[in-house]
Amino acid sequence: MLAQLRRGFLLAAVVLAGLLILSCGEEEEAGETPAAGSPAVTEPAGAETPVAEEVPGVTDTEILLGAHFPLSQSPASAYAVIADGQRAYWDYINETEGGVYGRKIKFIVGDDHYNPADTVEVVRKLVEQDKVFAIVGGLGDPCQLAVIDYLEEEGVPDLFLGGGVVKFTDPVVKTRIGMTLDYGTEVDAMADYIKENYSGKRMGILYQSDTAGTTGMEMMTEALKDSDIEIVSRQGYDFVEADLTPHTQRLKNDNPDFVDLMANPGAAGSVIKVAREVLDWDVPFILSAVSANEFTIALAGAANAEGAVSATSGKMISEVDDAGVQRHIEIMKQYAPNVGPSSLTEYGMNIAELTVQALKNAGPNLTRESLVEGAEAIRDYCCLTCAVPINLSPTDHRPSETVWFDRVENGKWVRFGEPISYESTPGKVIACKGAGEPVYADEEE
Amino acid sequence: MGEFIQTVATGLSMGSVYAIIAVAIVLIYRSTGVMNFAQGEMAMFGTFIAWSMISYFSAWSLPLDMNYWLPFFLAVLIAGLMGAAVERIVLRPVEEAPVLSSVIVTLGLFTMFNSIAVWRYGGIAKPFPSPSVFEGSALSVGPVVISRLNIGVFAVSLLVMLILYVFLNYTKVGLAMRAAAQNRAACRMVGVPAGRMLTMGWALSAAVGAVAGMLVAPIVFLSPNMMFAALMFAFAGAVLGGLQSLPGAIVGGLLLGVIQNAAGTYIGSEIDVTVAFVVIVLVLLVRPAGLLGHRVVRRV
Amino acid sequence: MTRSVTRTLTQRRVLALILLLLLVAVFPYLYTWPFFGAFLNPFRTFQATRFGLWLIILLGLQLLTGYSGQISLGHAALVAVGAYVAAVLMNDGFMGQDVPVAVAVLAAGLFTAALAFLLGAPALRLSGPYLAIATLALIIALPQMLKLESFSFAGQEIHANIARWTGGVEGLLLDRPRAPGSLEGMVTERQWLYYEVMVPAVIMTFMAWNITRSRIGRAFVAIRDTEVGAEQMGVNLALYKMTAFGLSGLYAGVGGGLFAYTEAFMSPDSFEVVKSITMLVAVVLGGMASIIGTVFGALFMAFQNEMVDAFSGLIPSVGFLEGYLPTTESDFQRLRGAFYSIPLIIFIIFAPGGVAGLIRQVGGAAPTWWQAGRLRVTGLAALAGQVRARWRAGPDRTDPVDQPQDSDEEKQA
Repeated sequence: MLAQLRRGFLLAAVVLAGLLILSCGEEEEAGETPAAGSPAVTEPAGAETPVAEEVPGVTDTEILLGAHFPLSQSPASAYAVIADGQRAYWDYINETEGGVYGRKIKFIVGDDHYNPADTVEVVRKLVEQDKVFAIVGGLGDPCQLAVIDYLEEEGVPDLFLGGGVVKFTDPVVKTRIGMTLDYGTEVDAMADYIKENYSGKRMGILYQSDTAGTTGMEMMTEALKDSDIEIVSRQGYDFVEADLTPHTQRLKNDNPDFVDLMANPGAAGSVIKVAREVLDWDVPFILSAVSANEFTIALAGAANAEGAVSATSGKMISEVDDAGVQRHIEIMKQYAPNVGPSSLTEYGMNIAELTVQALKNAGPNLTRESLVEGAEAIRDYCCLTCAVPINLSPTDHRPSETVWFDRVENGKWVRFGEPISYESTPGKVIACKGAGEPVYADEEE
Repeated sequence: MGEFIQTVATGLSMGSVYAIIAVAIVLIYRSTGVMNFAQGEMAMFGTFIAWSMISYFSAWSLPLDMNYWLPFFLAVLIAGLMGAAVERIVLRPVEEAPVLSSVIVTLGLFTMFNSIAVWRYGGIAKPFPSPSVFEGSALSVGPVVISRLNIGVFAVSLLVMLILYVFLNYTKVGLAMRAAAQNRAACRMVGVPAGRMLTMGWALSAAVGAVAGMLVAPIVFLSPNMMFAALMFAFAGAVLGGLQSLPGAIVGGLLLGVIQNAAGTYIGSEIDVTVAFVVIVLVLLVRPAGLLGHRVVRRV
Repeated sequence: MTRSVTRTLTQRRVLALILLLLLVAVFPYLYTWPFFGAFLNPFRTFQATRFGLWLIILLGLQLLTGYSGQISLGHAALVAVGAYVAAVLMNDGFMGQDVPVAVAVLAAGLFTAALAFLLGAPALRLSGPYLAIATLALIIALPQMLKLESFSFAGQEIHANIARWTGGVEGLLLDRPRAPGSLEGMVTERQWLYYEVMVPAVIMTFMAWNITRSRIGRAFVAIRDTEVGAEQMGVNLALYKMTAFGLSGLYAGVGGGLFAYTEAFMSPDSFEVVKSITMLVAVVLGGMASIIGTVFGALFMAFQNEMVDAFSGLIPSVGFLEGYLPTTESDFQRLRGAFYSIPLIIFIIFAPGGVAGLIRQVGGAAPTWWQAGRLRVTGLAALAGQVRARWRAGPDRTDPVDQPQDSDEEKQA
C-alpha cells in the first residue's frame, strides 16, 4: 500500500517537474538584466541608460511589444480583433520597410479574460518573463486599473491603452499614454452638443453599469446640472442582459424628448430596434462614441437608426472612396486575411501607426524613455483612417481630443459640421483626409 | 395598472425564452442528473449554422418564406445530431463517474463551442432575421404593447411544451425515455435500450435549444455570447420550477421573466438580476424542490 | 465514492513533508543558485505567491464541495467579500485606527466565515443542483450589489450606498504592499509577499489536513456519502453543514484578503461567474476530497495560461489547412478557449477522479478505467464494438445486456 502511494507521489513529482519545465519559456533573453533580482522599486527605466546597456525587449533586429486582451471566456472577446489590426499593420511595416531602423516589431498578446486579477498575471508575465519593451494597446478599463501602478513603478511604457477612465491620462504619468476618447472629453463634447440642440428638453439615459457607462452617466448628470435640460430617466443595465425591451419601455414611460445611449453597439442596437419597431417610438437618439460604428447600424436596422447622432474621430469602414480606408482594407486583406476589416481593426491600426511614428521619432537609439518622448513629439499627425489629427505633448497624453459629430444617413454614418477640438495642445491641422493627408485651417475642405 | 400589465406582458415574453431553454435543461437533467452548462452554446452553435444556411438560401427565393423555415428545420436537425454525438462521444465515458465530472465536461464543452464559434464566425454581434410571420408592427392589446416576435416566442414555447408532452406521454418511444429517466437499471432488464434513450434525450434537448436560439437571435442578436445570460436565467428558472418537472421548467422560466422585469420597473434597473435571484432563493427555501417539483426519495 | 480518509504518518512521509516545507521556505531565494537560475526567477516567485493564494481559496471549496458534498458555484462571491472587507479595513482603518495587514486579513476571514455560516442555513434545505443554482445566484448578484448606490422600493428612494465603501465600478486601489521597515533590505517586495501568502497557506493547509482527519472531517464525509445514514449515526446535520460553509468562508475570506493585499486592487469584476465556475473545475480537476488534489487544482489556477500556451504550441502550422485548422496568430488567439477546454474534457474523461485520482490509480490503490471490469469501454470504441457485434450476429441480436449498476445510479432517478 505504501509502495503504491509512493509510486503515486513519484508520478506526481514527475508531472510537476514536467509542468514546470513545459511552462518555462524559451523567451528568456540571453542577457538577463541585473535588475531582475533587486527590489522592485527601480528608478524610472532608462533614466541613465547609456546606449550600450540592455533595453528589455529591444535587440538590433527586433522590438518586442505586448498587450493584454480578452481572448476567451468573456463577452468582451469580440474586441480581440483590435489586436489583429495592430499586428497586421506591424507586419506590413516589417515587410515593406524592414521594421523601424532595422528592427522588426513582434507582438505578443496575453489573454486576461477581461478579469483584472488575470490582467495582473498576464502583464507581469509580459514584463518579467517575455521582457517586452512596452505594453501597447492594453484593453479594458478595470483591467488597466489593476496594472497601471505596477507598470508605472517598473517604468514600462503603457501606450495607447484602450480605456477612457479620466485618471489614466490626468494627472499625466510619463510612461502612460491613452488612446480612446476619455470619458471626460466625451461627456464635455456631448453635453455641449445637447445644450446647443436640445435646450429646455427632457432627457433619458441608458447606461451600462460598468466603468464606462456609470462614469459617463454621472459625469453627464454633473455637466448638465446647471443647464435647462432635465434628466427624467436613468436606466442601467448589466452587461449580461441582452434583451433590453423592458429598459426601453421604462425609458418610454418616462417620456423624454431625446435619449442618450451610453452603451455598446449591441445594447444600443437593441434599444433602437425595440423603440422603433415594437414601441413605435421615434425619439431621437444620441449614441456614445463607442457605438458610432457600422455594428450599431447593422443591429438596429438601417431604417431604424436613421438620424441617430454620435461623435467620432475616425473614418467609417464604409467610406470606401477614401484612400486611407482603402489602404486599411488592403493591408488587412494581405496581412490578416481571416479577419474582416471593421471599425475595430481601424482602431487597432491607428494604435499601430502611432506606435511606429513614436518609434521613428525615438530614433535609432531606442530606450523606453526615448520611446515615450517620441510619442510625445507626435504633432498634427493624421493616421490612415483618422478623420481628425492627433496631438501629443509632455503634458498632453490624450491622442483623441478632437471630435466630429456624425449622423446616420441612409444606413451610413456621415459626418456633419466641423471638427470640434478639445485639444490642450492644438496644432495647425484641423482635419484629416485620404491616406494621412492633413487639412489645414486655411484650406477648403 | 396599465404599467403593471405591460410589465407582466414583457416579463412573460422575456421569460418564454428562458422557458424553452429551461425545458432543454430539464430534459437532460431528468435522465442523467447532469446540469448541462453547454446547453446555451449548443443552441448558439445551431443558430450560427442556421445563419450560414439562411445566407446560402437567400440566393434563391422560395415560396412560403421557405428561405427561413428550411434552414430552420435543417438547423434543428443538425443540432439534434450534434447533441446525440456529444452524448455518445463525450458524456458516455463519464457516466459512471461522479456527477460533477459530467458537469465539468459540459463546462468544457461550453468553452469549446464558444471558442470555435468565435473563430469561425467572429465575436461581433450580427443581426438575425425573424420569420416573416413574426415581422410587422407591434400589436396593441389594450394598454399593452407587445411585438409579434415576442408573441411568437411565447407561442412556440407553449407549442414545444405541447409536442414534448404528447411525445413523452403518448408514444412508445416517449414512454421508453421516461422509463430510462426513472430507473436505468430496470430499463435494461426489461430490454429497453437505456443508452439509446439517453442519446435521444440529448438530441431532443439540443434540438429544443436550437429552436430557442433561433427564436431569440432576432432580439438579442447573433453572437457567440448571446446565450450566456439566457442560460443562467434558464437554469434559475428550471430550478425555480423544479428540475424534475417539464411543466415546471416553463412555469419557472416565465415566472422568472416576470419577476426580473417587475424588479427592474419597481425597484431599479441596475439590480433587477439581484432581486430575481433573491426571490428564487426565497422560493427554494419554502419549496426546496422547486415550485412544481417533488422531493426525490433517496435510499440510504 | 468511498475511500479511506485516514493515511498513516510514516517516517518516510514525515521526511518528505519536511523536505517539501524547506523547499517552500527557501523558494524565493532559489533562483540565485546556479542550477535553479535556469528556470526560476522573480516572476516564478510571483507565480508561487499566486499559487499560494489559490491554494487557500480552493481548500475552502474542497472542504465544502469535495468533503461535504455541498456543490458551491458561488465560492468566488465569498472570496470577493473577504477581499473587499480586507481592502476597506486596510484603506480606511477601523474607527480611525490603522489596521495592520494581518489583522485585516484575519478579520476578513472571520467576517466571511460568519457570513458563510449564516448562508449555510438556507443550504440545509437544498441539495445538488438546487444548491448549485442558489450559490450561483450569489455570485451573479454580487457585482450588482457591490456597485449599488441607491434603489427605490415602493416609491421611496433608499440610499444603500454600498458603492461608497467598495469604490463602485472603478474598484478600490490600495497602497502598494511593503515589507515592514525592520526587514527592509533583507527581502524584496516580491519575496515579502511570497512569505505573507505562503505562511498562511502552509498553516491553513495543515489545518485542513487536520480537519479532514478529525471528527469534523469524518462528519463531513458522512454527510456527503449518506445524509440519512449520518443523521442516524448522530451527526447534527444542520450544525455540520453550516460549519462546512463557515469553514469555506474562512478560507475564502483569508484568501480574498491576501489577494487584495498582494494585488493592491479590487474590482467587482475580479471575482465573477466565470472565475467561480473555473474554481470548481480546478477542484474537480485536482481531485475531490483530497488535499493533494487541491494543490494540483491551485497549480491549474495559477498556471492556466501557460498550460494553454503549451497546448496551442502543439498544433502544427500547415499552410494548406488554413481556414480549417488554426494556422495564423489570430486563429490561435481566438481558439484559446478551445485549447483550454478540449484538453480539459479529454483529461476528465480519462481521469474522472482528477489528478489525485490518477495518483491513486498509478499507485495501485484504485482501479484504472481499463482495469475495472465494471467500467465499460465507452465512446467511439463502444460504437465500433456494437457495429461489429451487430454485423457478426445478424438481424436477431439485440443490445448486449450491461452489467448491473451500483446503488449510485438509482439515486439519480
